[in-house]
Amino acid sequence: MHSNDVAIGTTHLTKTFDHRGGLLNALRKKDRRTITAVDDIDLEIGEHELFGLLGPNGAGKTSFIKILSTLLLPDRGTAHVNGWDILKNPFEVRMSIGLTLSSERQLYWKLTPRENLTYFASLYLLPRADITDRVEDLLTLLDLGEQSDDLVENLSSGNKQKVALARALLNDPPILFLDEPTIGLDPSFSGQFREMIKKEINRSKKKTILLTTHYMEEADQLCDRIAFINEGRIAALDTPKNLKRSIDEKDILTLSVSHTTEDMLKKISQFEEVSSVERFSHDNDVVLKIFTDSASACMQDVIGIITDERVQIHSFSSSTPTLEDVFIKLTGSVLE
Amino acid sequence: MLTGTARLARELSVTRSVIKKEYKMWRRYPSRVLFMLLMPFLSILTLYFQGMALVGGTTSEAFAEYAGTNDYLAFIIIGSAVFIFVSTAIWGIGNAIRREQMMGTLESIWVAPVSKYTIFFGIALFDGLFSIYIAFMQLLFSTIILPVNLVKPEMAIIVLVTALLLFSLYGMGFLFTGIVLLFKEMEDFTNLINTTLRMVSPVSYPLAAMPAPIAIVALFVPLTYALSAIRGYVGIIDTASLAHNAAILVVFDTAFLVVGSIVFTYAERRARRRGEIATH
Ligand SMILES: Nc1ncnc2c1ncn2[C@@H]1O[C@H](COP(=O)(O)OP(=O)(O)O)[C@@H](O)[C@H]1O
Ligand SMILES: [Mg+2]
Repeated sequence: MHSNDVAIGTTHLTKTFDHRGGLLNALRKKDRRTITAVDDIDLEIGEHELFGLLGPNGAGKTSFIKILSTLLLPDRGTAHVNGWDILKNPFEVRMSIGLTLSSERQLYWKLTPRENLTYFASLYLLPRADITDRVEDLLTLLDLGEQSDDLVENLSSGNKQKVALARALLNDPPILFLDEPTIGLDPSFSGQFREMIKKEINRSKKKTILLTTHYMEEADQLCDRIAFINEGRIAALDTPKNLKRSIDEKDILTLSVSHTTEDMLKKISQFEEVSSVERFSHDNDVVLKIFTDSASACMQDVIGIITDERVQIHSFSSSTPTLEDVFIKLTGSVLE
Repeated sequence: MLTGTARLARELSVTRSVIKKEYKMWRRYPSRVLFMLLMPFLSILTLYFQGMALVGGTTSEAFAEYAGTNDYLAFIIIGSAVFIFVSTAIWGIGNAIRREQMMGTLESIWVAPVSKYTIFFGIALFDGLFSIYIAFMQLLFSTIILPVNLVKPEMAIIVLVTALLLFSLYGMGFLFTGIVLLFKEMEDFTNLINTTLRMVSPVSYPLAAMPAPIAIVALFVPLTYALSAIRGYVGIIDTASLAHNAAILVVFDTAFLVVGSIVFTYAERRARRRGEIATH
């Protein structure tokens, strides 16, 4: 039953949702759209791997994780988690995993961290005698101090997320699913928290981790391998290093401008040094990403064209490609 | 992996954790505590004043023609105490699941390996303790304060029949828990069904007082048989009709448990297909 070294494997995994525009429209059979949240995904994640699913809002990350956790049933395809089929052996899958969701509300706010953990531990069918010890160990790991006995509603978002992580570890599962683990946390705490996930949970406790994120730094810093996901599909899959090397262009020019014109975009892409131009909007501005072999060679000309069109430039920078640039190049979508 | 009796034993011990957790949560909502403490007294006084206004006393000869007993107040108080169990058995689990859904904790529970029925069982036990408290306080309070005598040895019959009734009601409880997962909305639905149930079963008035069409509907409500069996003791105890009603209840119990579980299983799968365990 256990295939060697594969912790999580999916074949043709597919999930669609029907969106009905309100009850009346549903009755009139109007305005029905089908959204493919997970589109024919084949993926293998190795034991002890820290694997990241990187993609923008609505890409299908949460749906993918929920299918693997048995909370959502797929339309087609199947998946194995710790050797168990998610459709045929949901009990065994649940025994093998820990899950944190991105909602702050996943814990009981009117209970303390200790009470939360004790209750959830019982739902994992641990022997009563082990529960107290396990909870104590995890509270020590979290280092919450006196807050262990304070109501969860009084904890900071960061500490709530810590408790959620501890909850996912209660049954000492070989596999963890972390859905956007640092969403909404302040940057310094996020840094610490990522450190903890990588060092304590993945490297020292040897947990296989599948995490989702739309922060490229998070994927870059943490993950052994990353899959880009966009509109339910895997657009690329490799180590962060290889992904960043995968595009030929050495430089990216990023410009924030008031607006764009057809003419201007056409002229820019016609430069020999420019291989492609991606355009998207951000905070009322239009952002242009110009992929080039040499920023210095085309910079002057690009600026010239833009000012000729009487378009205002709000900011301008040149850098080597980041993971997000690669994402944009491959999918045409931005992460945030 | 955990199987057989080992798993069963672990599952059973989870019910204790559920009760403990429900109790802690309850304690931390002062309004729920206050409601619980005052509810038995207020509800009884309401019934008493109603009786005085309508019948002009605690007994009525006109009432006796329908009910076989002139002890109007006893009739109503017993009906009302039984109805406490009816309400919590039918709605307790669905309401608790809906609460978890609103709080945002439902998925965290759902992803755990424990059986959903174990959690239901824990909730039912916790609610059962509540119902026992309320019914007991109501009966005690009535006996002490009001000119009505309820505490007799025959009380055992009430407990027995109510216990028999509960299985049917929990079957309905599973069914309505499925409905919570299907439709999310609970409040209006609760009120509608509760009111209908009160109307079509002889809680506040006897079966003979109902118009014929409603009395026919009442025949399909297990509560009717429970109340008929129980009220026997308020007037004359009739063991033959008690046994008859009890037998009918057992049939209802089986049917409702089976149907309730089927509906819940269907609703749970549908919710997982549509990704709707969590949405509120
Ligand atoms: N329960 C649901 N019902 C209908 N549509 C859904 C449901 N869950 C997710 N979706 C849709 O599926 C797509 C993917 O969503 P999701 O998996 O949450 O993406 P992500 O986690 O990457 O933001 C989105 O378009 C979202 O609106
Ligand atoms: Mg998501």
